[in-house]
Amino acid sequence: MSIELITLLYFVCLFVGLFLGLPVALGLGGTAVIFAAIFEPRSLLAIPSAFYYTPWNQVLVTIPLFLFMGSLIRFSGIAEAAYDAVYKIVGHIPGGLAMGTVKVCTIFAAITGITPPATITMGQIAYPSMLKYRYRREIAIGSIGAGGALGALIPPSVPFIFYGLLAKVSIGGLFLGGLLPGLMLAAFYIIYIGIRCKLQPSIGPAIPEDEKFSTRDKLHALLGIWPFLLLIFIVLGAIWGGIATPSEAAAFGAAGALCINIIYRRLTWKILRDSLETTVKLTGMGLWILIGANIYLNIFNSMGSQELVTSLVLGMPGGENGILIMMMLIILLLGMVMDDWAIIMLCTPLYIPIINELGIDKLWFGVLFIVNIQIAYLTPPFGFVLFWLKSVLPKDVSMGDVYRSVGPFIVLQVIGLILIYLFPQIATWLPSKLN
Amino acid sequence: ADAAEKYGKPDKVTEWVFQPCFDSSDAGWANGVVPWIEAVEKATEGSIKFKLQPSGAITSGSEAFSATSAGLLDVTACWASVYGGDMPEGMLAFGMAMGADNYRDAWAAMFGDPKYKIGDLVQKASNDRNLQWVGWSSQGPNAMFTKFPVHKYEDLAGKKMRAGGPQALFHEAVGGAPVAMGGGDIYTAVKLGTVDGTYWDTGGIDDMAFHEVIQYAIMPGWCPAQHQEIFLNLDKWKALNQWQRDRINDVFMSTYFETSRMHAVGVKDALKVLEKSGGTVINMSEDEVKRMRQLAIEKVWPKVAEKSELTAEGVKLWKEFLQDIGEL
Amino acid sequence: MKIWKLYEKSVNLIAELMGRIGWLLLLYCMFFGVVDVFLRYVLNSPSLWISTTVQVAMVFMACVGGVYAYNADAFVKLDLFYANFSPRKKALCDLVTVILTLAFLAVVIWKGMDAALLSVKMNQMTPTSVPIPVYPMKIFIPIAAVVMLLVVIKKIIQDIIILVTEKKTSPIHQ
Ligand code: NA
Ligand code: NA
Repeated sequence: MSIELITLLYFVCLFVGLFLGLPVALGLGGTAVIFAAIFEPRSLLAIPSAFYYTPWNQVLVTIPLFLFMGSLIRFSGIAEAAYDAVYKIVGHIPGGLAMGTVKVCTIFAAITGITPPATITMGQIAYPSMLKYRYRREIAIGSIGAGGALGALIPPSVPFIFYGLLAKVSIGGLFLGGLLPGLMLAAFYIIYIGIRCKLQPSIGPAIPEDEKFSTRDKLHALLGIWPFLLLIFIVLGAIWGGIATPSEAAAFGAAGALCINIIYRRLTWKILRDSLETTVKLTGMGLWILIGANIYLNIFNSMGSQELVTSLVLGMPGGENGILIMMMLIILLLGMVMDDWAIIMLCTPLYIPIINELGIDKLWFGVLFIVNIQIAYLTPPFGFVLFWLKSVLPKDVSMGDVYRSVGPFIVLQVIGLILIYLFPQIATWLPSKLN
Repeated sequence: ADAAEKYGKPDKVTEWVFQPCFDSSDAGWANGVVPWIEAVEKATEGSIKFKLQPSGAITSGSEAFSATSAGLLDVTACWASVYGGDMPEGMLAFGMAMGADNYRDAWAAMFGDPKYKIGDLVQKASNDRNLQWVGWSSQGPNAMFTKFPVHKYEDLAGKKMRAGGPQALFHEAVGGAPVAMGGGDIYTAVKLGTVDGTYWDTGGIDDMAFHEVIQYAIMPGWCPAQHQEIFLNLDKWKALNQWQRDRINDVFMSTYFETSRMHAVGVKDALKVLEKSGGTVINMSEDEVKRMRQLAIEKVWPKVAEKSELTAEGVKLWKEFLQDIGEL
Repeated sequence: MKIWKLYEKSVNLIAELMGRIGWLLLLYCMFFGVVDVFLRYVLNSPSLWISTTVQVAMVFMACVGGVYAYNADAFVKLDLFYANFSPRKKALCDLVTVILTLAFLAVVIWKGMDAALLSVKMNQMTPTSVPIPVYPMKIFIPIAAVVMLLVVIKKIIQDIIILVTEKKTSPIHQ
């Protein structure tokens, strides 16, 4: 059997399994095991290995810790109180809460180097509050998903570090290169939400005229946000003040949330138990997906499928643009089933020699690469942001709802990608100014 | 059954999967792994071929050593700072804290001089773990890269430095505060001041872009000649014919010196990159190196020696060697 | 039926127990994450073992959390079509796709035992300055997979019961 056919079947088997209702983690692992057993039996040894080396990755501890932080402030009602306060302040603007959510996600992106923390924390906190104020599901989910994906683009960013190491590009330069595109996308989301809700007020309704709040009320409301601001300050301050690594800062966030609960006299045994339960379940589920994705990649490589990637890229007609487009398409495809570091690890060594040959700016390409991974995370049918989002949202939200919600934001991401492609300065201007 | 088998190139081509514990961005890729592969393919006249994969492709870097022992991989290249928990004897080959000054001395102690032959201990330990040690390369100094100047080891006291495994033992011995963190976090941590610097292999600092965030390179660091080893699954070794095994043994020494020289050039280049971006290279005085060596032998070496009978024997031989060449 | 109820109960109990272990591991990661910073930033004497043991905790959390989550049906599914299936059809699909799950777990158990044995034989330690044994983690991986398998068997039986007891799709079930 040719490698093309094997690779195709490898994807098809996974797709079929997942659409028949097999959990994502088990679909990834199960498909990999079957193919390994048939085509490369000795690579079966790699499978238990992934259960050890995946969670061993230090940065992943941020997932349970931020989850715990989010659960604590959600179950205790602190998050709701904060959103109530925000509503008083920006509620007169249609879609104000959703725009605020994107802004908080942007701040979150400056805290974490990976995507899941912002998605899962905001999914827990922002979604119930937005629904409470009769925001339509799609705008609530879309703003959280798109905002959460910014985590990898706005520095600090773990994917940029991996890319920088492999492509031998300045990591500081890449960080700066990702900043403007990240802020640009955030602005796109905010503008889109604003316009959409202005035209269709039922999606993100403003406060009715007769319920408007006075300036005094608004100032008072500001006090209601303090625990929220304090948490952001603790986490951001710990990192940017050189006090803690991102993993430790996440521990600060969780411990901070616990302390705020105690100060507020909100902490009950039930809240603690619910938070622990939610966190451990979601962490276990998420880690199994990451483990499954690593196994899927290991077997993909063992079968020799990465050679297929190279031949696909080099076989693409249309010169430089054709090759670049093919590269982006492959990232988009792999982004469905692999984690960001895995795609970077797989594609960068294959792409960089070609990029060098073509004389393309590696920093610019790196930014395109990461923007593309963000898109891959959000595009149906599979994507890591989609998985996380679905798992933290209430049971009555189906995958179809999530797909419909992220659609417009994917369009915005693609517009962003095209803009960066047409105007490389968006990525390269800031690094060139500061180096 | 193969008594009549001829001594020479076999008809059958053997193909091996080679996954180091690092990826193509590491200096050990182009200056260590690739030259060794080319030498083996040439020496065995194409009867052995390699499929080289980056770390993480088949399994993670931290698992590469045991995966080779178990037969998931055929060949791996790794540092004992990574696999030392699986085989502490590897530290004898990696390089002791303030051990051999350069790769020629290291070769003499490990293989060259029949009086020491420390390499035999490492080979024995490898065989016990179903591995054959087939390649070696010196990567030059593993040094300190800091935001503060260091002229004597007391300058490191109280300083927070990213240091893993053996580096942390050394940093603790000089009174510093070692901090553990993943490789990907170091850049940001140094930049933001979470740590004051890092220990790293000198030839790799420009790959990690550390020159953007640190000010000083302190030579010769804590390990003047750091090494990387290549291991082959023992069953795969035994499946070769004698001619092939001899050819692989032949290239052990020649690739050692070839790749060590390549690394030495890489070290010079990396330091030039640092100086060009405004950094300073500090070479510690000979007396200071001697003091540090004394300290390392007193405080760090016993921790290697206590790991196993073989490491104890190896540490003893290393001490004798340094005494004999007058560095103690 | 009695035996089945007993089995269901026992599996739930084991999963719940694993979940509780997960709670402790989570609190460990939080508490010691903060302590680590305190030791380093305030006392200037960083610990050499905290960050490694947090990694160890994460490996165990993946094991126990996976079982806990799967038993509670918290594993994320792409229920694009699945969500609209009748209970019978869902059970039928589950019974088909469970082959992949069984293959997966079988390999984790079988190869996981090999890896655990190798780890014990090598006396595998972390390469950190304070060495921590690796084999407890490697041993726990196939054990967690066995417990996971018990949960899978529970779900298989549940699906079979649905197939046997539920009538063919009638509008009432929609
Ligand atoms: Na970020
Ligand atoms: Na996708």
